[in-house]
Amino acid sequence: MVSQFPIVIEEISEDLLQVKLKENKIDYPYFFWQLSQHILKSQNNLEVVPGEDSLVIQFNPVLQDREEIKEEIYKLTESIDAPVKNKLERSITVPVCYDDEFALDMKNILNHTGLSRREVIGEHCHRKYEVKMIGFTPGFVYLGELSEKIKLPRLTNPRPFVPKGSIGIANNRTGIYPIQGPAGWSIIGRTPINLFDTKRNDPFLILPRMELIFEQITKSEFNAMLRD
Amino acid sequence: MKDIEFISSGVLTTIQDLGRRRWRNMGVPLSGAADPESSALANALMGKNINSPVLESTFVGPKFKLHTSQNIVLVGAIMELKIDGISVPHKTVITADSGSIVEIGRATHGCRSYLAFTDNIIGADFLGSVSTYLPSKLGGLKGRMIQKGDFISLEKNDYKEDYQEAIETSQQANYSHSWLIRVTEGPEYDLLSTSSKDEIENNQYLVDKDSDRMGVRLNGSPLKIDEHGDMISSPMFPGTIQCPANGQPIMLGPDAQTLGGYPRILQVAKIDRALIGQLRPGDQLRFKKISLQEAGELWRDKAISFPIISHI
Repeated sequence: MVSQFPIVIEEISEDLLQVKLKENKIDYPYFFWQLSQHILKSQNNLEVVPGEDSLVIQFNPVLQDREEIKEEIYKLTESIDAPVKNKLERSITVPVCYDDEFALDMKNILNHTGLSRREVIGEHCHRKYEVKMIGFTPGFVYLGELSEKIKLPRLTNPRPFVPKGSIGIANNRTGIYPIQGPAGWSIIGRTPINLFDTKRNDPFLILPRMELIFEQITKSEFNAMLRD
Repeated sequence: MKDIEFISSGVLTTIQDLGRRRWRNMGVPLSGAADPESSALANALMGKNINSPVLESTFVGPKFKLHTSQNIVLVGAIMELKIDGISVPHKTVITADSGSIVEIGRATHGCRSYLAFTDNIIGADFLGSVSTYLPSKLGGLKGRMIQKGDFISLEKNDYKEDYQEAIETSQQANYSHSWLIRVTEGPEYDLLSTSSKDEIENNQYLVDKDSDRMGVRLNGSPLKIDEHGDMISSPMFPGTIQCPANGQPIMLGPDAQTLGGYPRILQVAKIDRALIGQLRPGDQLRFKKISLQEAGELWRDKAISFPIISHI
């Protein structure tokens, strides 16, 4: 069988293999996500990280054979079919407060885009996003497409800390930082809801292929939701 | 049940094993001992499964009272270990009676030490590991660092293996304040300017104070990188060295993010990856570039002479 998705596998360290599409063209945005599920089902001793345009596998160079793993990956890509229509699974709404206190980079975003605050918020808030990928930290979601009008590169100097719930933007993506930590994206607002709850049976609330909508809230609504 | 009572916490003491495996696809970091070779050796000296939970101490260790008799062993950063005020050696299994006071001092070299007990430390299991991951408040003791007044419980350990032969041949890293870290080229190495590629092995870096288990930030003569902050986020692993546009590399540790958007210029070779956990603010560091083949051979040779590490 010939794969619908010709791939190349590159050794990027003595224990890491990087999978990319040959044409480096992504017709099917969830290819690497789906491939990661297939790999984890068939191999039980690999670490797998799917990205939007690549996937990296970590193996044990003493106990596992690199060439056998490569063979297996080539074989697994044959079983992936792109769906005719990319149907999104369920939709989720996330409240955001865009107040200055939370939007740490609003001034810079206004300067960079030349838009008013109301316009920036409108561009960010009034659209439906697809969950393109998850990762970075537990519960972080990559959402697209962000409006061209508020497109900014990553920060030159990443921040060591942003508060939990911060919403960032970078290039054509927006994302939610579910926990306090370092951040290289420009911060535009904050959500009071918990996106990674270890006390739930299934802590992963949002997965790729879902739809996500932001809903603007006031600071008093934000504080009320935090207390709940 | 209240077997270990903490009189003082140390700077940052957590429960760790060898990490949370097979959830990286969901954004869950490995976590686990920042220096897995030292924690594995501590368990091996005790004849335990190398994945058994240990106490990871950072800079300054804790002081605790034992309410049960235990054998203990300390491996890793050079920190003075005292039982009832008497100094005892590292990498040596010693009996501490019930009621004795154990104290782990300030590190003179290295950053983190690992203490193993006869019995198993009980920690909160999350996705198959008790490793503490502080940012998400999970694993370990209530997902946080140990505090004064805390208690930890132990449970009987049934696993027993004789690793003596392996241990006798073990080579421990030479701790200093000036490190030479072997690296291979990362996938975005070619984004570095020609002059930066030429200089990268001569650059002297200082470990920044904003370093933690997620990443060790380095300060040095800035690298020139053809980077506009617009890369698509790519997979990252412990040992990946990324470089933001400011030209100051960040070396990722056990709590490394799973995806990141700064170019992956270098990757710490497996032979030196455990040392990331021993770098401390103010230490000096230089890189030595080696080929993928050499990196593979170095690790395989080490695994032959010290077989327990082949499972790390």
